Amino acid sequence: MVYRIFVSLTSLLAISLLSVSCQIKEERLEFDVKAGKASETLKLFSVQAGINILFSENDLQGIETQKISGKMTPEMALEKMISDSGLIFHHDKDSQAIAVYYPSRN
Amino acid sequence: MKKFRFDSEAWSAVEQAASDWVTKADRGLSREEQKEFDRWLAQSKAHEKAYAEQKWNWEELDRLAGLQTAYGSSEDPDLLIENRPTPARGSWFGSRFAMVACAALMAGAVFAWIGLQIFDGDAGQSRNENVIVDRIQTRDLEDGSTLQLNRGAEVEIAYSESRRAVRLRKGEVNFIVEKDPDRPFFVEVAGVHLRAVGTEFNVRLHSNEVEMIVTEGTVAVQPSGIENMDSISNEAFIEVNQRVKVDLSSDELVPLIESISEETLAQELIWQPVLIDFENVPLSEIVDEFNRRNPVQMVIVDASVNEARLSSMFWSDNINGLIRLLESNFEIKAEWGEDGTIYLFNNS
Repeated sequence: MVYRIFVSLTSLLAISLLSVSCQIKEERLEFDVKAGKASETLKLFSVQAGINILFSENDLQGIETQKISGKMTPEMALEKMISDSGLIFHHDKDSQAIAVYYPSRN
Repeated sequence: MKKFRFDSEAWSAVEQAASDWVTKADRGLSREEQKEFDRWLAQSKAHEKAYAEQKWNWEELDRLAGLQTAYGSSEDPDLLIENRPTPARGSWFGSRFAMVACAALMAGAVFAWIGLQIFDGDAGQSRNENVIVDRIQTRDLEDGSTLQLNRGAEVEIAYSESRRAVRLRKGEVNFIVEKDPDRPFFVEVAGVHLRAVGTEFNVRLHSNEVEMIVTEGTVAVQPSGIENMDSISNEAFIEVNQRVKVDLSSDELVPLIESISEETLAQELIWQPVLIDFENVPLSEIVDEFNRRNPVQMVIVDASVNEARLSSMFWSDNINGLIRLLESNFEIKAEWGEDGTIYLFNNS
């Protein structure tokens, strides 16, 4: 009986710790950004993600982003938004800031 | 047939390169690596496609690692046998084994968690060791009140059932106090006592002076060394757009109250972080705004860095983030002067 309680408690603790570590790595947030002009939609993403963003207007000229809706990690949301656009991003996780750019225009 | 083999090999090489980039990106790219990666990515659509696929695979591994499933465990040949032997539940081996296994699992989880913290921290530091500017800290207290601590500020919180007390030991703090008539809110700073009920005010401790500005409601000031703050008497009341200063070097602590203009008020509180929306501006405009709001100053050395028009949504205290992105993605190099000034050069 004692060992059963011990087993249950330690397992519970281990699973809790595992789930905490996963949450730290990737927190899912609610996003709702319509498709549209990248220079506008990326700022909306930034506010909803709570992440700072920086981009060159030249890189984003004429580029539109995809709609995102629902709960996901900020990186998943941004990947979905800029898919097929040629844009890529660099996420500096320590400072919670993202640069979005078009590699072939630099 | 020959052509097919050639394409297949070429594609494998691209896949391998993409896989290498995904691994490097996961641990963080240096400035040179970032440039090399950009060049590689821009070389061909196949590179983009391979990178996207490899990145998806990499993330899928992460996702699978997080699942608690039995996939991959060994077969159980006795699974369908009737009256299969079961392990003796109370046996010495069974219980000890379960304990050891669970303890190992627990220890593994703890080490994994600690490892994740250390890995994340180290990754950030190794990328840019020079640039460390603390951000403004916000502390949400249990009663709904909020403290915004300017860089270097230190406080002690002492809440009880009958009252809420905060001691400002060092620096500057903005207090947004939740109303609670049954639990008055006190601040003690270098022997000067403040009492607030549902209000917002900013307190700064200088080397020989206490300064307080009220931005909402009223705050009572009692500049004395009394032990029991409940028995405060002869308070001076400070209202919105008023500032009080108490000279700590004089024998008697006397509050000097003055009215201040909106401009002065804004200037006094400019350290508080705000989200700034820049649209299609040269870097100099962003730098000017950050300089206005932070003690750390940036100087553009090469005027050519102003050629790019930038847009951003940035918290005004996130200097680290701005510098790191400029360095890694916008061909700008930052160097720190001895006085802490950050010099920005064209690095293309």
